[in-house]
Amino acid sequence: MLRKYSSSRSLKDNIKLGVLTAYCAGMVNVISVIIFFAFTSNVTGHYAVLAEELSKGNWYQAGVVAVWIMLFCFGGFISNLIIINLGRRNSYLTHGIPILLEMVCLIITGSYIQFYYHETLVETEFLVGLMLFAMGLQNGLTASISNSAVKTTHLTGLTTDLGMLLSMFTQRRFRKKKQLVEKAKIQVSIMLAYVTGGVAAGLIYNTVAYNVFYITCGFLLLVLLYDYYRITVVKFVFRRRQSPRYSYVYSEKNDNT
Amino acid sequence: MSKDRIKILMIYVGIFMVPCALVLIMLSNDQSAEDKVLGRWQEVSWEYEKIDKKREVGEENWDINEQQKYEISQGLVFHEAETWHFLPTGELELYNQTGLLSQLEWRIKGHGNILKLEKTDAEVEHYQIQKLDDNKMEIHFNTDLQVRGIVKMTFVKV
Repeated sequence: MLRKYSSSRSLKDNIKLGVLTAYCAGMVNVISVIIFFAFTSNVTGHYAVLAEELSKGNWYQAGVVAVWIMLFCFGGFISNLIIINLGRRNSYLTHGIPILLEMVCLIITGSYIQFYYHETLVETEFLVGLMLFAMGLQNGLTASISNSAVKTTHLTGLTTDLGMLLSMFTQRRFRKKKQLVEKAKIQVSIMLAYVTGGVAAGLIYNTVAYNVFYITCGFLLLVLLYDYYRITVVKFVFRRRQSPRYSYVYSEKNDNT
Repeated sequence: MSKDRIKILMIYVGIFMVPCALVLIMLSNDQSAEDKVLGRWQEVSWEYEKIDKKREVGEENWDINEQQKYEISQGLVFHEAETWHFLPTGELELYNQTGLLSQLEWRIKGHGNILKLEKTDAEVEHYQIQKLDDNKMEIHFNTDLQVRGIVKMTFVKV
């Protein structure tokens, strides 16, 4: 999910990464709307709000929304900065850092709500900013390592692409193109995961409240541990193949044949 | 460090600093909605902002009369209040002509556009702050009593 980069990624890799991260983004977005009355996984609406507040002359509110947009952008900047600067010697570790940072942001948000939140506007503004930064990190990472095939925090571009793909699939020559079919599969998977995550968060919020943030972190941990598990298994199998006992059994089998 | 790198660094610092400076200027030239709302507000009018029917020819007046107002506000936490007093402690005192009517908790959410009023845990209501300046406040909320639509309440600072 995280180890492979750009062209070496398979459809399966992109779908796994897209589904898990989109599910998290859907959860985060719905929870932030419920708690803070603000969207935190996309900034399209915030641009509209910024323009509206500027036109009304509400400088404070416009300033706050501008900071939110900047934080989302900064998240993407940091994410890609880590990827391009830490190199690909250990791609798993490099790609894992933005996910870890995102988890830290969500844990801080969840913990703050649990222990200190007094529902003041400044707290709301700060926490929404932190969540937007986290979503910027996630979107930057997924877009960067998948060559922009996977973008999971907002569905505007994805819905447009899907509309275009569906129109292309009205012709047989496009339906036969494996690349387009794969793209459609990724888009549909991300869209369904995002909506499912949002619905799940909305349903469980009444029971678990702020713990939704920890559950979201659990899904992100799954993204991290999946590759760790794969690396460990591959290393284990490799070592076993290298060990003398295994070599002996292997050569014995060969002798018998 | 080469000249080229210094130049790039300066550009990046500029890119970062200019929006930050602009935002700081914007924030320092205005108050937050939480500060603006503090004080006593007198309700001056109730009218429909949008209604779920075609506007009749010649129908210009969307005012809500006392009877309609009474029915609409019947199920709301600020029922029959005429003066709202927002305290910095997060309490909201509601007054009518006879005196103190009730006390609620108030919070502002979103980017300063949502007013949350709470009587008890079971009675929480959210209102859209459409306009808020030093002297005037407009609050919108949805209703489906009498006529389905959006009600606009206008207040002036007293």
